[in-house]
Amino acid sequence: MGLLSILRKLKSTPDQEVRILLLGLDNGGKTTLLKQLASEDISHITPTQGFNIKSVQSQGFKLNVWDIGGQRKIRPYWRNYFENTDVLIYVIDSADRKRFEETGQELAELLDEEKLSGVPVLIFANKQDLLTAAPASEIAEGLNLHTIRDRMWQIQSCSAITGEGIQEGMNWVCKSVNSKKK
Amino acid sequence: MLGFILDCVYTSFLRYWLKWLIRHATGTCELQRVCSGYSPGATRTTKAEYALRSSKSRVLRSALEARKDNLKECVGQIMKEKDIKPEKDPQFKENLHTCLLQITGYSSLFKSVEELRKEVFSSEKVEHEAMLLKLWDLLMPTVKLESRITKQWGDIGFQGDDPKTDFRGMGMLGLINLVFFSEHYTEEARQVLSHANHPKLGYSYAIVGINLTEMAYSLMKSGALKPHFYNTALGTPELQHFHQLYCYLAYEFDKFWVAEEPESIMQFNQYREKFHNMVKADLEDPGVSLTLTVHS
Repeated sequence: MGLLSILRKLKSTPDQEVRILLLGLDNGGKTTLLKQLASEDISHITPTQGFNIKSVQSQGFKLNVWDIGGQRKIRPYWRNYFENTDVLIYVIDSADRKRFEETGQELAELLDEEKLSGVPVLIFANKQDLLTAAPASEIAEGLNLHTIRDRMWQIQSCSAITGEGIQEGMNWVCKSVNSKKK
Repeated sequence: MLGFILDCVYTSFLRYWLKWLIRHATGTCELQRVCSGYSPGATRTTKAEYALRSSKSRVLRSALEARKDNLKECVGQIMKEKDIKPEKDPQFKENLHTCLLQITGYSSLFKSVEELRKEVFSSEKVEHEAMLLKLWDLLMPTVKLESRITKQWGDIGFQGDDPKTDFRGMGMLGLINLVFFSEHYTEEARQVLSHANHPKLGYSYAIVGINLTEMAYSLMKSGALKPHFYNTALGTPELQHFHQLYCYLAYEFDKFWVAEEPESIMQFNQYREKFHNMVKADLEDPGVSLTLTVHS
């Protein structure tokens, strides 16, 4: 993974810890994304009960990525992890059209949360390796992303399995952290 | 560091020297001493495996990779190579054969487990669908499933309204384990499910089950389960032995979870790790046997 180059970009402000929150519906691909970021094996993943956290450390930098289970039953616990979040990454299964409405609702509720106000949000339109995946532009339109005015946002198509698009998304994450600190 | 150097000196040099000495003093080779000196089980098979693996002779080493129906022949070749006379050591042949059945059986069992894991659950496959519905009927005998896609699946701990997306990296292995537990230990499985559905101490029965399948799988893959299978399967271990081990984990994890009273399901991974370490510690004991015992 090209995480090193991202970390190099962050080098101008050493010893910086970045708290990244990974949310989205179950089966969106959050854990696969997390493991890709940490260069771990992605072939034995099981549904997340609770949460996973991984810190990717290099050259004095620390990305703390919190991957919280997306099952309906544990979504009420999401709010316990909002505090001090630098960037929110919201993961969508682009091939699961039946749940676009549900995922849109969850995202809208997150953007209304006081503790997340102003927090930059990156939307990963994941699973682009599947033939049935909707393109990022279609998802952006469906979610009315253009109406977001109170924060930086970006939508990035990706495939957590092949790794495609992740680098671009993480570049944006770092950029938004840096510009927020200024 | 010193330990490492000593270990190197021992395995590369001292060990052969010592073996040569003992061999000439007692007239028996290392394998013979292992096979006659220990009763059947993990200690004997582990020592035999070590002796074969670190042997200088290709005949001995290749026995570890032999197919099941070639093992008798392998034992014959080893006896020839090591000049072991059946009249002098009548038990040797059978004892070594048993060890080899267990050693090679472990690798072939892992292959079968891996095959099931790689088999993706597919709604197009009648037998996959039938197995999923069977799981429901076994766990919820009094409640009818309203349709194939329904929120009811949440009642047995799947995440959404279609369980097929929950098997993921464990594939059919996860489903087969869940069904095996419910079928062979129906009462226990329902009891575990009722704990899982506890409003405060609950967890998601099915996906925790799939998670525990992953635990069983990775313990198997790392070789950590060898002593367990060497003690509990006195021949070639079969798939059902693996499913039995899953039953043990599912039942014991539930007991552990209930006793620990975690604050919420969000603490799952922390307690899973604790449980995992307990199981790994148990597996360090050469007498280990992780079998589900029901207290009535």
